[in-house]
Amino acid sequence: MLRRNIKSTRSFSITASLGKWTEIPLAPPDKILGISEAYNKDSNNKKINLGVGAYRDNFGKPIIFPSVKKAEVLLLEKETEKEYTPIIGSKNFQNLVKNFIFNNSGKDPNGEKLINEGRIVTSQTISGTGSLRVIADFFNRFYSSKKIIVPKPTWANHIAVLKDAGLEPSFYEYYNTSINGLDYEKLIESIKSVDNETIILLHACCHNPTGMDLTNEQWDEVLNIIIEKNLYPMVDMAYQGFSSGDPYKDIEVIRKLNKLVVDGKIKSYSLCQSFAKNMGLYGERTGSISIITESAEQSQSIESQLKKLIRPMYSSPPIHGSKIVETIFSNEELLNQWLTELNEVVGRLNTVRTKLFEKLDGSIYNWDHLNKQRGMFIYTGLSQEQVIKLRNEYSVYATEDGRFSISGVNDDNVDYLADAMNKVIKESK
Amino acid sequence: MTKGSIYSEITPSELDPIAIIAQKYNNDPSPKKVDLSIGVYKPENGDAKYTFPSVKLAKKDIFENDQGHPYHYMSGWPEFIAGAQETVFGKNDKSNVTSIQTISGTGAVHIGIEFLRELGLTEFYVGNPAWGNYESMIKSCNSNVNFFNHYDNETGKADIDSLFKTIDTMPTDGVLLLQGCCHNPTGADYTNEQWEQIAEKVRSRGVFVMFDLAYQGFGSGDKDKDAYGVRHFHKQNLEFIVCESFSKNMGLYGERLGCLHVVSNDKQNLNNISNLLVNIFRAQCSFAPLFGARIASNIFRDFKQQWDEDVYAVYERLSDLRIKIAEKFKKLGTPGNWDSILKQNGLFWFTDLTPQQIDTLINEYHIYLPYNGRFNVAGFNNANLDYVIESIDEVVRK
Repeated sequence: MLRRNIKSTRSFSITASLGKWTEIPLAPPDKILGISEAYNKDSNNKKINLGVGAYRDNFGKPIIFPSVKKAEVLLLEKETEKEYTPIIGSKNFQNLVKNFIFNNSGKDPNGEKLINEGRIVTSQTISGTGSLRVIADFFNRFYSSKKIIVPKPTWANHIAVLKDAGLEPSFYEYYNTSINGLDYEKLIESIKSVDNETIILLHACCHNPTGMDLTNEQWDEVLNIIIEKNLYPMVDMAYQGFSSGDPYKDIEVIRKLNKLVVDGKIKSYSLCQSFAKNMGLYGERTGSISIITESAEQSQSIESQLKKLIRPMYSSPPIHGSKIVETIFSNEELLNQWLTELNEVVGRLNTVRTKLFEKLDGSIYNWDHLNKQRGMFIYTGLSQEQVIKLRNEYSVYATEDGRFSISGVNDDNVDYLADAMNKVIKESK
Repeated sequence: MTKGSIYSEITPSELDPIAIIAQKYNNDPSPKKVDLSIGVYKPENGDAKYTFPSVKLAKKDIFENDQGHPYHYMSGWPEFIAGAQETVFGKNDKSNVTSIQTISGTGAVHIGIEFLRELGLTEFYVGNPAWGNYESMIKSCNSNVNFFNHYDNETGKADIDSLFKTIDTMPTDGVLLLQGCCHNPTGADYTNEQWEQIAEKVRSRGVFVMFDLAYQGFGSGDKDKDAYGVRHFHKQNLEFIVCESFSKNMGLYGERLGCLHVVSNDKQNLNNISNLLVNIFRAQCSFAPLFGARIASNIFRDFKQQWDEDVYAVYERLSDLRIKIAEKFKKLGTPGNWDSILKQNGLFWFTDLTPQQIDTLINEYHIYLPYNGRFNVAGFNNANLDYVIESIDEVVRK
């Protein structure tokens, strides 16, 4: 995205000492940010913000997981060390991520085998975005193909991150708004039509923005195509736990991939994940990448190259968030508490989803997809005009693709919201 | 590429030299061992986990008035940005500055290089010796690095003539990367008068300057004085960028707190500049981490005086050690000129010890420093100072 500007700016005279910046074109503002700003300015006391993908409680307030707060108590007493963490994060952090995700905390023998054989390289990163960027840079340097396919639609930032790293992203079919559901046939068709060795980005669960995930059987079929065409799976997992309320249940695709690797059907895959959502550590920027390798020896080479790649970008990751994660995972009581709290958070989202569904008028619009979607969002299928109308006439703020962040809904505003949605749909009939 | 060898062409990359020294130090069982390598401040008791009193106060306040861990702003935490600008530019009018919070100093330099590349500025001029990471940072952004001599071994001072010659001869779309104070690794800084001359030459040649300000306050004990070069450029209405780190002067190393400031002569450009910075950063990290920014914001608001005192205390201790080291050499009558210890500023003392001599210090005396001869002055204390200087004395006499 940005690199394209180089050529155009290069031709401008930059030799003058004044006004070097005059030729910078205004990049489009971030859509979600713009929505929050407009929301903040709105004086209507019924206003609802359904833009940002961060959890809010039933009173519309951001929460601090009590387990996170407890971890911070322990950290404050211990006096967090201020020295740099290694470039790829502490060993302890790497190991707990491996065990939690790939070994499913002792429940995935295939993952355990890969760990024990030294075939997983993990690095702490600047949350999910940073993990995507580092892996994209890594592919750009070392992978045979620059082509990467992402579902249509996908997280708004995917394309920019991948392009800036020098990869060539394009879409595979995923969702069809006219039926408000997965366009599975086209999905299969479009994956089959890409070049061999293309990288394929898979949302592990709670697909952003549609909330519509593949079923078990569908995953198997997609993975078979991946094997046949020698595609490279890169899994993005930002919402682990937000589908079922249980982070161990939400990683079926990881278990399947582990098995394929152990069975020798695929050689490698990668995972980008963050604790932003499931621990509420958004602003602390805590995430990781993992690369499954072919041997322990190869792991060493890859790890050293990751260090070489990260060192000139930002030297080392921030420690406050990772210390919280480490503290929670080092204490079984705290770990169980966090799992319970996460379950409650997801429980509330599902309750709100059901309440909204009940209040929406199913006779004028088929809302069945609401109950199939999972995670932080509902992908309403409302048109851009309808979303704008909701904003202008009802002070309901959401991105214009019709994605609603469901945690902005609560007992106090669900009636108002459903009413506004019903009216807007009726009026556009 | 065949299916069986996705990564087989990847070979191991070398370890950072400083990491090798650290590893060796950690594995050394000798009770005499002294770590004078990595650039982290330590107090008299050698505690590497030392936290500034102002940071402790701020952390306590954040803990008691917990605002959680939300997403914040793409350009960074606003109170932090304001304080960071105040720290760098002081009382100067800052309405022609736009800034973005970054992943500490490295992140600021990295985003700075990428930002300049967007403008077509890709030839960098760096004083040698330099912080080891510059070269790979510039190259990893597909820009080019050129070196000029920074340090005059004879005088122990900055080689100003070499800089002037560089400014005179470098291409006008080149970028001069200058450290604002406490030069890493040499500790040899430009004087105020020299900064004024540099600004004049930079203006007349029309070249562009990128400041790296990683140790503000450690040079003189006064953050304002240490920012003389940057502030003079600002007062002269030059356009430049500043890469600021709070790793050292707040001791927030692991929290990764930094800021990139861009100064524009035309305020109408600020919006576009800010937008471009946000877009570059958005595609790499989305947001910068919050915790460090909260600590700094609290310090700017409530504990500024304490922070000033904390920074001054660091300077005082470092100066005291420098004097003691110089006295010790004098007492021993060590051959060679050891005055550089008194001329250099900041955390580091740059010597012309040879790699062989350093090898002996490491392997026979358990004294650890990188092979470029750079000592972390803060690693000295009353308990080890005599031992280290006496060891150096023995080694140079060999």
